[in-house]
Amino acid sequence: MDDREILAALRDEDRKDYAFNLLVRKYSRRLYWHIRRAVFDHNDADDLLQNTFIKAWRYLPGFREESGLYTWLYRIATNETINFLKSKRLRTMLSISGHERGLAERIQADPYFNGDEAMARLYRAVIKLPPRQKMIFTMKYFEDMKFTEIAQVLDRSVGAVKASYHHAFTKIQNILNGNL
Amino acid sequence: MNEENRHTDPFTVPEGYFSSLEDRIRERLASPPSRGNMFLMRIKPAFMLALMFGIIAGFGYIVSKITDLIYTDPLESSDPITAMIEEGWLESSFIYAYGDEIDAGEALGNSLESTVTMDEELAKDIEASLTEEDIIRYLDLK
Repeated sequence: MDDREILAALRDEDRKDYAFNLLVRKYSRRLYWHIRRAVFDHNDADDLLQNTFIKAWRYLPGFREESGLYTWLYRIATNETINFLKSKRLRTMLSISGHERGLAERIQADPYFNGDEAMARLYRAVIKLPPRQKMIFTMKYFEDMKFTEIAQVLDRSVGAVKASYHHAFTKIQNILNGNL
Repeated sequence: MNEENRHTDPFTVPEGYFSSLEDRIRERLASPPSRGNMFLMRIKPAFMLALMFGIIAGFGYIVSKITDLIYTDPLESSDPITAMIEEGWLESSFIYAYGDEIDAGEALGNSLESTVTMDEELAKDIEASLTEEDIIRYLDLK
């Protein structure tokens, strides 16, 4: 079933439960990894993924199909993740010290992390980025998205996205070189 | 948006995670929000309003403190004459007309007196009401 058929089924009272299951099955993996690369922790990623689909279910009547179904879901997941990262930051006294440092220390002890030392170092550097820069970096570096796509998802100008990516990249280079 | 990422993901997920996901989302959709959440949702607007009021009041207090720090009443400063000159209340040449011992209140009074002009009619009336004796007494006092 393609997205248009899923959407039509979601708007049909008799078929909407079945269509929703299809939607979850079709996109949960891609959205999960998108979220997981930004929050690292599986439980947080699971919670945010579920929130994404619950919001999609609730806001579906208002979906105007100005973008594709996956782009819309992707945007919800991205905003959920950014808000989550921001609230974590606020809860740790407006600094990167608490939550991120804890994550950085846990990253290799995590039973669901099987990367090598180089990968762990890279993720430890990514953890230190501010929420939006972190999302932009993961979308570009890990998901290989185009700047125009990232700008569309985040509702930002392409120039602003490029500038953020540049800042993030430079910061990560400095961290890896031991300058930060 | 690419389906596969170009780097190998270092993360894994618990076994059977994706196959049970639909059921767990369904469960959450079926369960009503907890009482705690509903209470939070109800008080959130009031809390936000109180918070905004607090922030504005705090901001106002800080601004008033800063303004107080910037502005000092010249008459209350440690060097009132200089302060009054700086405020433009007195001419800078005023300071040369007096010795070192200057009373700030008196200085300001004198300065104001020199700029006061009397209505011409009133001046004539006063002059007419003065006797020759009054004038001599006044000149003697001077």
